[in-house]
Amino acid sequence: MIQRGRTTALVVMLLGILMLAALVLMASATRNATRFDHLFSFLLIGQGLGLVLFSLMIGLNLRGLLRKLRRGDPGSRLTLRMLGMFVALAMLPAIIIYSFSLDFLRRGVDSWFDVETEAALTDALDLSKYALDIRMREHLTQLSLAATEISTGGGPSVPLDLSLLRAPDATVISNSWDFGAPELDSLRNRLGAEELVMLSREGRILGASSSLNEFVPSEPPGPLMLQLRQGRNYIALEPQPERGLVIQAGVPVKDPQMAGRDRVLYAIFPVSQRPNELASNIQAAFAKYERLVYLREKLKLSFTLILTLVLFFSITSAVLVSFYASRRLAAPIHKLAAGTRAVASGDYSVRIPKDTRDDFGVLVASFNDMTSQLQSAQAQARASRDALEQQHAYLAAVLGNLSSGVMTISREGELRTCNPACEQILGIDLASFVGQPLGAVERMHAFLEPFVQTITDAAQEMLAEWNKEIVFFGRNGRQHVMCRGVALAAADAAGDFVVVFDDLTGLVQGERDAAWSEVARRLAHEIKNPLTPIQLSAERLRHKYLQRLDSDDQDAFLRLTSTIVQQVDAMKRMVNTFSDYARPPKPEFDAVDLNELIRNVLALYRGIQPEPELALDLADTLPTLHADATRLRQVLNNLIKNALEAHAEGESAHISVTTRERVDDHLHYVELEILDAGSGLEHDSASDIFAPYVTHKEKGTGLGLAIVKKIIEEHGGDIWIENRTDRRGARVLLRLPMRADEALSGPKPKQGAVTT
Amino acid sequence: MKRFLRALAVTLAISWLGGPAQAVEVTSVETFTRSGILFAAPRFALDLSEDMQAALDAGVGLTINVDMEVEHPVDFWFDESVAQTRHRYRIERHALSERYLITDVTRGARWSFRELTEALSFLRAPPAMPIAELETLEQFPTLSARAQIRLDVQSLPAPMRLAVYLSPGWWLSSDWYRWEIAL
Repeated sequence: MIQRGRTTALVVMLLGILMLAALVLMASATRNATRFDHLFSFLLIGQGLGLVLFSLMIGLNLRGLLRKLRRGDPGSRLTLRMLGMFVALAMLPAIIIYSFSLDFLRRGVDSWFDVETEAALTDALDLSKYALDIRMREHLTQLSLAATEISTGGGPSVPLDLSLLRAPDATVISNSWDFGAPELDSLRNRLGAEELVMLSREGRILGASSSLNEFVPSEPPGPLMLQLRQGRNYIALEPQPERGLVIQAGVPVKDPQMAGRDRVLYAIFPVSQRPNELASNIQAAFAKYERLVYLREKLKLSFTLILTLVLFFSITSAVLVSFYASRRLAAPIHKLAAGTRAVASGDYSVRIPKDTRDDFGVLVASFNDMTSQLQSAQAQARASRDALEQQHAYLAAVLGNLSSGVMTISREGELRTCNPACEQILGIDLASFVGQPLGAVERMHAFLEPFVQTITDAAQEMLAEWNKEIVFFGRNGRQHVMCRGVALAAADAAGDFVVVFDDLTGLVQGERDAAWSEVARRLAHEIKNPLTPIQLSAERLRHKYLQRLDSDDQDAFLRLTSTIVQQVDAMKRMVNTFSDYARPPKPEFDAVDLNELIRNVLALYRGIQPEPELALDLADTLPTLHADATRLRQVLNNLIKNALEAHAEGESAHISVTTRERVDDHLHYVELEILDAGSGLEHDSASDIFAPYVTHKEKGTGLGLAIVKKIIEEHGGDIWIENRTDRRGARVLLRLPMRADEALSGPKPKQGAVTT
Repeated sequence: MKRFLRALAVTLAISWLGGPAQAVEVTSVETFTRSGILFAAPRFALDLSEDMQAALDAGVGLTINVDMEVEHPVDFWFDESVAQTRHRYRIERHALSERYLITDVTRGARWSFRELTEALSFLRAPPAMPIAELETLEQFPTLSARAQIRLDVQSLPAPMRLAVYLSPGWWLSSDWYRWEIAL
């Protein structure tokens, strides 16, 4: 940019010097300096082109400045002000000088001319004319006398063909002379003429004499013969290129003997050297003065033109220099503004080169110091931020890799952050609820109501720390979630609390399985093992001692041993059943049509007495379940059997079985409802009814529903029993999620970041 | 500045009001050969404008250039110039003798005339002027020539030239007159 500016300035300076030189040459040419006279036109054109070029450059500069002003470029107003100041400073004196110079010039040119000089020159010319006129008259008189003299004597009669002599390839023709050359020579000498020629009336040369040793006599002037024919003598002053002024005179030569055949005597008289020189000088001076008078206005115009060109040149140069100077002065401001803009946009690395040592230089140095300090501060801030971000990323990585769900809740109940494990445990895109109240989660995912409600209640109670187990039927089936909440103590998070929760579904089930397995193992070890010896002992007693007893004792003995054997069998069955509950076979999942399974199971109960009333309402388009058919058959048998047994003995049972497909809040499951018209539950709902050894029947082992619940949980489903609200009886509701095998596989921890 | 602009405006106005450019043309050119030289005797329709006559009477000499060029026509291209000549005639007023002088600047000859009309008659039919050697011309099968007469502005005093450029009264220049040359 600076380089280009300097180049432009150099070009302008060079152009300016050329234009100045052209102006000087033009001024010289105007003063009639023959050296540059022929260049005048070219100089004028060149000067005009130079000015046009200057004007164009000014126009371009002005346009650029106006654009900058419109854009509001920094320094543009200062440039304009300085430009105006420079131009005013340059134009004012230039115009004043121009005005005065123009006046002086016109007066100066006018002073070259005055009346007295003009009168003196005119008088001198008239005097010369007068003096020459006297000479001319004298020569004419002399020539007239000579003609008279000749007319009384004789002369040449054979003319000399002058045209022959003047022809380019002519040769000299010899003529005979009546009036011979000696007579003409003598007469010419006597008259003091340079040439003396005798002509016929037709203009043919009859004879000639010359003192100039010229072979061909001078051609008589055209008007000579015409004037003589009119009866007037011919006399004229003729300027000759080499000889200066000469006097030409012609007179008729009368010949009384040859009437009508007059001849003409034509003579050329020289003007003496000194008078000739003086007359020539006067002629030259007069001509020059007359020319100057004629050129006076044009000279003024030319000088005015040159002066005006000088003015325009000065002004355009001043304007161009002003542009350059103002740009140069405003450049540091422009740089400072650009630097300030860069700083404002966050670039603290900007440094402005210090070109000058003036005030601007100090300002630039201060600016550079400031940006240096800002850059240093920015670097420190960036380092702190990077460290913070690293810590945050580390924390996020830790939280992302936690299998526990961690989320923070604001005091207003808004979800602030959550980690990927939250989504994995809850089975929803919890991150999309960040910034929203937890109620929104509940509204969108109704199955999370227990979870949300627990947290909301804890938040409302303003507990510093709480710990609750939440059970809900989620995407993955029945889920046990252990939830812990701790209020945050940080100043900027006062009132907020962090909630950490774990999916204990697998753990709870595992623990329970392990507990019941242990119970089964102990039962087998402590109870089942002694049962066989007891039974065998009872049977041996009966076999060995029955025959030895009397009939009365035999009956009692038989009854008692039978009771022992029956009870031992009952205890064996109970232990086996318990063992089945504790160590179920590994489920084998396959495609299962639940409706078909229900129909098969119910078919077993048709025909029994009393005949039960079975109402089926099976969904037409029930999707195929991925389940263990044998285990589900066991569930259905247990539930139908329970429903039948709920009715009073001898009473006809009313059992209604309904299946339906449900899609609630993205939960896809199959629902089975079994209604009976039995005695119902003692309480409206019994959460402990599925616990082992809990039974409301007189002959129940208390393991039927426990096994049912266990199988359903193995399938990721849920089951509960409640009293019917429409009539007496119980209502069993069973939900089996689609792809239950996935539910069984348990939660899979995945990597991710905490969403805030 | 105002004075200059006024003067310029007046000059321009006077110039343009001064009428159209001076009519001048080459009416004929007669060519002949003599002593191995091709001569041309042109004839012009020529008059001087009032501005020119005023300048002449004020002692300003006018130079008239007669340009002649012999060319060899070339098909589909510019004609080839074979010979170029310029004859310059200077006409001026001699105040002492009250005569008009015509000088053949090229050849140095001078003629004087009492009346301007006589001088102009001379200029309308100037003496034949050599334009090329026959030896040079004979190399070309076909030849053409052209002639033009014009006032030499560059020979005028420098102060006059601005006005001369601007004034149609000073625009004295004929079109090129063309003719065929048969040797």
